[in-house]
Formats: sequence, C-alpha cells, structure tokens
Amino acid sequence: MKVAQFLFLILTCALILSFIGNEQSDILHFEIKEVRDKEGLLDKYETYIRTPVCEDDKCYLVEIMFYWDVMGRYVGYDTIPGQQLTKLDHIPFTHEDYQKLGRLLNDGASPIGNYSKEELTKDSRESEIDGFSGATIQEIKEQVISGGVYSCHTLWHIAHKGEIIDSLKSRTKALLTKPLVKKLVKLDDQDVNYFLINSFKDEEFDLYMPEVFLMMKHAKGYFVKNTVEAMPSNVIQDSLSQTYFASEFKELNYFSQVALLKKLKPDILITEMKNVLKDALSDNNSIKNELIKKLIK
Amino acid sequence: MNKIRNYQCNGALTLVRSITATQMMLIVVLLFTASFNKTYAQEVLLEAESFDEKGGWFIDQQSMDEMGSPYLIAHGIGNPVKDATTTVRFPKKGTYNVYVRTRNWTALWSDKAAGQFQILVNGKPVPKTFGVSSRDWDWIPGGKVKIKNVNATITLRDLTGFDGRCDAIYFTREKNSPPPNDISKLYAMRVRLLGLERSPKTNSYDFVVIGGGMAGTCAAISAARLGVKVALVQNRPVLGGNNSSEVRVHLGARINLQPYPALGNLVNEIGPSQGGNAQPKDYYEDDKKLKAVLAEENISLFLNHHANQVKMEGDKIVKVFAENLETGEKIGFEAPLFADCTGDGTIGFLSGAEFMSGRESKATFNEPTAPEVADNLTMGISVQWFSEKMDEAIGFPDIDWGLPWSEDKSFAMTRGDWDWETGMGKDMVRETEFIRDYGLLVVFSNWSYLKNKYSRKEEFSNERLKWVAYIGGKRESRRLIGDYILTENDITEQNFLSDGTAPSSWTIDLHYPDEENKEKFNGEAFRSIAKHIKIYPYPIPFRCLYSKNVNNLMMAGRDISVSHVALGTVRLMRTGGMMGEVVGMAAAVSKEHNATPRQIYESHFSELEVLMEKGVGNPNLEKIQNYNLGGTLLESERKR
Repeated sequence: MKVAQFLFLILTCALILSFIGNEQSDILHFEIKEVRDKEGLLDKYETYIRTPVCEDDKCYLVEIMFYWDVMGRYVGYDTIPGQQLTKLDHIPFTHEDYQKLGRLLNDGASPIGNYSKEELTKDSRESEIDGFSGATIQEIKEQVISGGVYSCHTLWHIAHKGEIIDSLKSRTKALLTKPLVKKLVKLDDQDVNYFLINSFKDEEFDLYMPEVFLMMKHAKGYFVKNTVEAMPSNVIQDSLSQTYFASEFKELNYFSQVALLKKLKPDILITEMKNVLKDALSDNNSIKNELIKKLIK
Repeated sequence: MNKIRNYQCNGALTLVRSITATQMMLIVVLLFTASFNKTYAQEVLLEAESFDEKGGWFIDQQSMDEMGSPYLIAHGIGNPVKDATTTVRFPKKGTYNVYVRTRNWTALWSDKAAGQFQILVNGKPVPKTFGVSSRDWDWIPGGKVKIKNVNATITLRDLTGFDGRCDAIYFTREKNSPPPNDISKLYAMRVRLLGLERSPKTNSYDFVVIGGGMAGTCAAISAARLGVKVALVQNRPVLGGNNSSEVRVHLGARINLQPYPALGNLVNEIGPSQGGNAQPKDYYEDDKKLKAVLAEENISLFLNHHANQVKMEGDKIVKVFAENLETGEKIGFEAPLFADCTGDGTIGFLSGAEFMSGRESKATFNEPTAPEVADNLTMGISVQWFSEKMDEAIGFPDIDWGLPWSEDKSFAMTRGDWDWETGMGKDMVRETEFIRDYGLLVVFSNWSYLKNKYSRKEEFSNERLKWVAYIGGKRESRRLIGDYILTENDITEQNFLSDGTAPSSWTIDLHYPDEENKEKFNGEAFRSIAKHIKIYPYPIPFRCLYSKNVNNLMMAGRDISVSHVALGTVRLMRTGGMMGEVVGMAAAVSKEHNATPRQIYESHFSELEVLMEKGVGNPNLEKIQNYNLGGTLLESERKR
C-alpha cells in the first residue's frame, strides 16, 4: 500500500499550517498536515512542498509531497498528480529515476549531505582538493540521478537538513499529552525517548514516571545515565523511583549506576536500595564502590 | 642530559637531534694492530645514514629490524636527488676494495633497475654503478679505489630519482673479504668499526613512551602534565606518525564523547585544524605537535631513535634501548613503566608480550564479521600521492622497470588516497619494505603510463607528480593481548564495561583487496575497498591498554588488545590519541602508588576515573577539528 493511500485511510484530522516566503530560504511554499490515528493521536506529518531547483541561472519549480514521522524524520515521498519531476532540459524522470530518488532520500546518512550543490558538480579533481576522497565522490555519483543532480541535492537537503524538521518537532512537543507519550514510548525508539526526556519539564517528570521507567527498561548506551542526570532530584529520591532502580540496578551499565549513585542521598535511601547497594560492592577500587560506601556508611 | 634541542632555521623546522660528544663522531675509522689482526687489516665502514650532508637523500628506518640498519633512500620522484657527501680519514694511503650494501628494489618485478646510484671518492666514481644487481640487501663489490690522500670526500650520487638505496660503504685493503650480511654479525661489525659503546648509557625516567604518533605523543604530554618525568622515543624526525607530513593521513573519529567528555581535549589541542588525505605538507602541522611536546618540561624527546632491544627482569621490562638513526649509538631508557605506542607492538614483541595478528576465526570470539577460518589477511599500507598542475607541460620518465601497464589497468587520477593500499595478506612487520616498494612501483607505473602512453595523456601533460609517500601509512600489525580482548560483539551490543575509557566511534571499518584490481595484477592488489559497520561510540576497557603478561607495559594506538574486527574501529587516530591521554593518566596513578597497570585497575581505578573526568587538554580551546568524524551512530543529545 502506498504511503499516500495509507494516509488517506487513516486521516481523521488535518491541521494546515502554512509557511510562505522567508521561513525557509530554499522553499517557496510548504503546507504541513498533521495525520492522526483512529484514537485521534498524532501519527505523522504530510507536507506539500514547492521549491525552486536552480541550475546556474535557470530555475524551475519542483512540487512534491514529503512524509515525516512525529520526530520530523523523513519517511517517504509522493508525486503530485500532474506534476512530474524533471531532469536537465525538462526531461521527465523515468520510473527508475523515481526509484533511485526514493533510495537516496531514504538514506539519511548519504554523503550528499556533506556537499554543497556547487561542490557536487565540480570536477573530481577540485572536489578532492577539499579533502574528500575520490571514493566518496564516486559513491555520490552512484546515488544521484544523472542529469538530476540538482533536484536530488535540493530534495535530500529538504528531507534531512531543512528547517521543516525543527518546526515539526516543536509542533509534536506542543502536542504532548499523557496518551501521546504512552503511544510514543511504545515505539521503543531511542531518538523518540530522548526527545521525550528533553521535552518534559521538571514538574512533568512525576506524571510521566511510568513511561520513563519503561523507556529505561529497554534502553541501551547512555540513555539511563542521561535520564537519571536529567531527572529532578526529588523524583530520584521518591520511593517509587528507588524501588524501580533497586530492582534494575544490576542490569544497569556501569556509567548509569555511577550517575544514579551520584544523585542518591544517604538519608533517604529505602531499605531495598540499601541492600542492593551492599550486594553491589566489589573488591575492585572504583568510583562506584566509593559512592556506594558513602551512601551506606 | 640528552634533552632534545629544537633548532629553528629561517622559520622552518630543521632536523632535531640529540647531541653528545660521541654522537658527533659520524664516522669512526679503526686501525687494527698486529695484536688484534695478524694481517694488519685496515678497513673503513661508512654508514650512509651518518653522512655529514645528506643532500636530497632521506633516512629510511622502516625495515631496519629486518635488514639490520637504517639506510639512505633517493626518493626524488623521478628527479635525481642532490648528492650526499661526507669526509673520511683513511688509515693509510693505498688501494682499497669497495663494497656497498644496497639492493635493486625493482628486481622482484623487472630485470631493470629503478634506483641506480654511484659512489664517488674525491669526485671520481668507483667503477661500478649500484642499485642494479642484488634483489636482496647485500654487499656489492664496487671495484678498487686508490687513496692518495688519507682525507677523502665520499659522495652518494643518485642517477635516477627512483628510490635507489644505500645502507653502508665498506673499504678494505683485504681482497675478497666482503663484510657479513647476517644481521647479528653485521651489528657486531658496526659496534666494532663505528666504536659504538657496548654498554650504552642509560637514562632514568618515570615513564618511557615508545612511538611518537598521535597515541604516543598524547600519552607523553598527558603524563608530563600530571607530573610524570617522561621520555618520548620516536623513530622519525617528526611527530604525528600517520598524521605527520611524512604519511599524510588526516585524523579520524570523534573526541569529547561520553562517558568522559574531557577525553580528547588534548587531541583537539595538538591535531591539525584542517582535514584531507594526501594534501600539501602544511595540512598536517608537524610543528604544532612538536611545539606541544617541547613545551612540556617533563618530557625528554628523542627523535630519530628507534627502539629495538629490551632488558627484562622476570615479567618486567627494566630498560628499553633505542638506536640513534644517524650515529648508530644506543641509549638505554630505564623506567618502572613503559608504553608501546609503536603501532607494530615492537616493544611488546621484544619483551615477550603475547600478541595476535591476522584475522581470528568466527569461532574464536563468536564474531559475525570474522572469517570461518583464521588467516593472515590484515589491512594494508597506504603509499599516498598527488600531482599539481603546472603552467607548462612537464615530462615524466617512460620507465622500463615498472609493471606491465595498459589502458584498462590505468587510473586516470591526480591523487592517490587511502584506497591505494598494498600488502593485504603480507607480513606487516617483516615485509614492510616489499609492501612499501610495491606501493611505489604501482604509483610510478601508473603515472608513467598516464604521462607517456595513455590515450588521453594530454589531460596530464601539465601535471607534475608532486608528492609520493616513502613512509607507508600502516593500519594493522601486531595486537598485544591485555587482560581483556575487545571484540565486535562488545561494541555492537554496547556491552559497556566498568573500566571503559576512551570511546571508539568510527565505524568498524575493515579493508579488503579490491578483487578486480587483484585479478588484474596477478593476485597482488594495490587498490582496496572498505566495508563499514556503523556503531555507537564504545568506551575501550582499560584492560585492553596493558599487556597481560609483561606487567609494566601499557599500549595505546593500534597495537592494543582487540580482535581484528574490533581493530576496524579503534584504529582511528583521534581514538588512539585519547587512548594516549588515558595511558598518560595511568602513568601518573602508577607513579603515585608505584602500581602496575593491573594494580591500577584493581586498586586505584577511581583515581584514573577522576583524571578522565577532568582531562589533561585545554578544555577552553575552540573545537575546530570538524573533519572526518565518521558515520557514527549517535544517541540524541540530552538537552536538559
């Protein structure tokens, strides 16, 4: 099922925001629609974009529909009926060109992001002098559509580097409610989780603690460490939190443990936590051991 | 006091060397009396690297552990280099037989010789031309010379500009008596004839760092800033290793990451401000690294010193000996703690440290990317190059000693990047000269073809081959085994360990021979491909930074305790520099407690953690190294 059809089926509510002119220097016009699920919660965004693509002095208009998730991450594109994409000299994109464009846009880490439009079309010698390897230039050449380099470059940068992304994130942040947070946590997506932690105000942490625990439960890397460091002290000392951390302590990586130990206060440790910490003492010297000793002295 | 002095000349940095009375004695002539030699043998040994004036010849020490000595190389990129000259006092007038230790480096591939040179005595060439015969290093008879005045000038005259090489010249009154070619006998002869001290002078330090690449330089500075007396021993005239202007690989990977964001401040301080491989010399800012080291009162710097011997007591290194590349004189370095930042794990190897090389099998560490069966495939050595556009057409010799070339073998390029890579599958330590030479051979073969025979050669007519490395950029050799061996799974599963230190952030980036290129060139590829596995930054365990069985040896750089696959990510130079920062901090903890690295891990680790949190570099410098950060998977930033 094409993305557009899917959106059409589930579309329950659409808020149209319109930005015209200087909001985004490369884009003449874009309209954002919020796409909501059947519970009425934000699902994704649909954006109609009209942008000029310029080759030297000549410019032509490209009209295209982009789809973004709640985090402002590009998830797909669609053409506008009657508005074919074109290459140099207005040659229309072929079926293969559209597929290639799709593959390029789906690659958010494409090296095309490292180049300005001018750099891309220099001969390889000049580009190499800028410190990029011949291999990288070659890689880009394989990713872009021959004769459609400018379109590829413009659209990729709108999809992955444009200011639209920030406006979408701000929009999502403003729409956060307990049901939406619950829904987003289920995505089990670390970027979303960080977005939530960064979005919560100090006084909101209490409200969202069950969701925060859920996010931490499956987290990898430094998420727990960073979350613990972001949590207001009173929330960490709360017995509900301590109970959670006591049960999970052994599972936390070293750096999360140290972050937690740095925030706990000896006077208000619950028994369960004290017992866990006693068990966690080891013979090796470490900051963790020193912190535990201070907490349970 | 052997503290290195830095000589500046017209703003340009010139060769930096230690100066002692004995080192000033560049050549030594010994006259043996009847009590030592019944034939009254009279002989003179001249080491090429000891010549007073080296002209355009460079000292190459890359293969000295294999062939026995540093040598001079005429790396003129097709233009004969300026003469090297020296003066010598012969013991007596008369006729001498001349032997020259040299080789024909292209004999492996061609019956012609690329690097030819002459020896001149008082301006007259000896009968033979050198660099044309033996495939291997050997003493080549050069005929006879008549010495009419005991004071003579000896000249090395390059004839081709294509990497002719000369190790030493031997004059003897004896007939048919070439010097020994066996390395240990040769060394004994050098000691005897050059008057080298049999018991080298020893200096004592708190910490000796061997290897002055990014890892070693950072290790030395880090330790010095924390009050540790350090000797930094580097076997090139510049610091920076692969990031020096001799190799020209830009720094890669990220600094200032969790869990210790202050790690990398020193890398930021001493690293070049702009990126790019195979770029003009000043991109690499050799001077910046040297100045940073010279600014540290606690560092004694020994450039042009190659460490090649250790003295052990049980499982402890007592001394490391390094040879002055110009004089051959050895110095002993005594310390309670050593760091092997040699890349090749040279000190570990000499001290009996357990090590790995090649590729481990999948079963060894259960790594998905490892091959089913272990083998000796390593990543290779890059000989990078570039040309510059001139205002007028410029020629290049139509060489007859290169590989057979053709249109479909040619690379119509003006710059050779990292992917000009040779030696994958060779022994990275024992075959260094071959691997580097093959790199030179293919660059020259390709360029000669482009300039003289290529169908679109007019596109290259104004291009001048400006720079070709003669110091190979090495990626992989020995990996010394520590108390922990970091593997692919640790990294991809983000299995953080409590002794995590410097984070590795580059992809797992493993190089392989380009199959098409390999096929076209009889199984010996010189172009490579890279396969990347993206990772989140992973803090390298401290236990990977010291040897498991040599109890006072630490490591930083590419010779740390990792699997071949894990090496793919940790081998980047910013990461190596941060390892150096950590190893330097560990040296400070070691000094404070007289502790071995393992004892630091077990009993003093909290002190190292505090130092890692604080960092040793200047935290207030602008972060300007935004090049070549790599396709790291990064967690979102915490903004609260």
